[in-house]
Amino acid sequence: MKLTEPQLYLIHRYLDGQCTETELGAINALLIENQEARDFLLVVSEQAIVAGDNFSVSEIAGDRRATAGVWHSSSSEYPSRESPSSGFGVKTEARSRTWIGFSMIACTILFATATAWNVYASFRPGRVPVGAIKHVQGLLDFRGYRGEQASRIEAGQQVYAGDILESKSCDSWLEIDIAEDSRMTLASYSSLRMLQSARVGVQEYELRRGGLWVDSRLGKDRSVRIITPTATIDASDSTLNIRVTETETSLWVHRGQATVQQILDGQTAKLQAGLELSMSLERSGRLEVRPQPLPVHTWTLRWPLDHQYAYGRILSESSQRPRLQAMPMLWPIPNRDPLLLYVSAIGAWGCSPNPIVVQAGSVLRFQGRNQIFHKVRLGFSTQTLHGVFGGKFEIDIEPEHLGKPGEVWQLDLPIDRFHALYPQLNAKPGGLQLIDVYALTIQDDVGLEILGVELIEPDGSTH
Amino acid sequence: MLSATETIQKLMQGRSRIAAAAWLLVRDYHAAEDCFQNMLLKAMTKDVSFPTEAALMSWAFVVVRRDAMDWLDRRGRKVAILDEKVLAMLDGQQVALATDAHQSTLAALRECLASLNEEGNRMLKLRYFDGLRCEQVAQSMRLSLPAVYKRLSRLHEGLAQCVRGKLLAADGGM
Repeated sequence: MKLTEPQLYLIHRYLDGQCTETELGAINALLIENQEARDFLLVVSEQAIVAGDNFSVSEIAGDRRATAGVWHSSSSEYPSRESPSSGFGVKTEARSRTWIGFSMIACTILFATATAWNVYASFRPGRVPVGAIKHVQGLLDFRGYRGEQASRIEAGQQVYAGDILESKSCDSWLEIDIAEDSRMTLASYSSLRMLQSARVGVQEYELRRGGLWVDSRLGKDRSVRIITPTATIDASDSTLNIRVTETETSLWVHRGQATVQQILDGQTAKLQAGLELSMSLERSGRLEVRPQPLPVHTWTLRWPLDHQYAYGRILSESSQRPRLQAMPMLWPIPNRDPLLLYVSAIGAWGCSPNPIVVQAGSVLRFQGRNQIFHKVRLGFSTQTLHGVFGGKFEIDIEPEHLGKPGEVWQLDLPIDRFHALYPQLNAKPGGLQLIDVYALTIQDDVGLEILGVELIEPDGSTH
Repeated sequence: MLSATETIQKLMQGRSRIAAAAWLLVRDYHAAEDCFQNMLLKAMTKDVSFPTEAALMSWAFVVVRRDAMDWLDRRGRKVAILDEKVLAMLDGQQVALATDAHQSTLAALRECLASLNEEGNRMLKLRYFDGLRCEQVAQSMRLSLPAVYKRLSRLHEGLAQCVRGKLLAADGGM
């Protein structure tokens, strides 16, 4: 039985994403009853893929422009991932339809000897870069779209749709150029996947977890889209800070504007500079837009402490003061065995509704206790206000300054006495946002506990 | 059991059919390709093994469909999707095809695509590679929507006939 014209139209309307509920019922019935309709649908779908492969290859071989308009800079601005002699361009230009025809025959031989990834790479249509790494810092992980994995990422390296970039520690981050005068910075403990956008002029990225700073100055008709587990965020000429977890997306707009759409129910919101938004599935997915809170310069650790913002064992027996006991942590070090630490850490950023900004001359007051006469390291990490990692600052306290084992000690430490671990970022912490405060010992468990932390303004006032 | 190399070989040989299964849901060439990649990554990185090609292909179609559904969910797309029963019938039909035998069909299809005229090429590119809806294709090519439906149907049917002809010729039937 040959398919009638209305039946063919119905199939095309489904493939177009245009059919109504009634039409969907009709096409389901048609496909269940009619073998020819099923054959036709399968033929169309496979032809679409093979035709897409052909266009993908010929488009790149032609002018190497982004097929979906995602990369408009000239290719000379960003050198190819491969060397010029065996480069991306040379390889793709050599691909012709004849080559594709022969490739199927050649693959039998290839499969017998090549590794799985090499085989995959030989089939994959060529791709165009969607960005280039500008700066890198700390422990990072790269998983390429062809399956290759590397812990070394270098400035100048190009990234392609399907590549995944991850920062693996609190002091790791990287910056990517995504277009002329436009860049993104991936914050610590974050994961970003480059996507191949099907929309002309749109660059798409999936922020899987952590934080992303976006500074885009894209022209008219171009935009950047960030897809998070719970929302999509679109912007073109804007500066944004985005933080995500599996269930929550928070957005701060510092310049320009952004449009947010919640995946759960399609709710949208348009944010101007100076506003922030949070959406959480745990709060029924309500979009909350409000002015960004002003920074504060004092902070006091309040009990009970939320587990989300603490590393360590929270002890709160009624007979004693509440405290945070150090727990072991393996600290990764590139090309070396990890270091065993015993750490008590508090995420100050999550314990205050306002950003806490350290001032030159501020004092950090620590109260703590340890059961063994031993040196303790105290420290804090920072970021640029609403931005990315700003550096860590630490100080070692010798045991004679900590009193007798088992007794509570209190130390008032001017922040300028802390040693900058990343002086190339910021030599002094003044003006940076406080993220974490911590106390730790290396290798030895001395029963370290934190009982209190305060940030005191230079004039001596506390919150 | 299929070895790791055989597994990848079979999946790559079946790439167009597996990606096509994702495309039937996402209806976007680039997204379908990403779904295929994700499936391939799972095959390589998860500890999975298959006794036969049929078992492998069944798994691949299930995984790629699931990934396509996830893709749709993540984009918040509320588009009409075929009934589960229909999708299972389509998958069953695809899984039954041996990947080795399908290679000659694919080679023939590529040759037939290469011989398409300019208008046919343009229509396929706009519709499938650029991802335009039929209505947008109609505007771009200054045609009516029914004319686009009709020409697309003819194009697909023509390609299918061309493939059949080439396969027959290769078998000495013509």
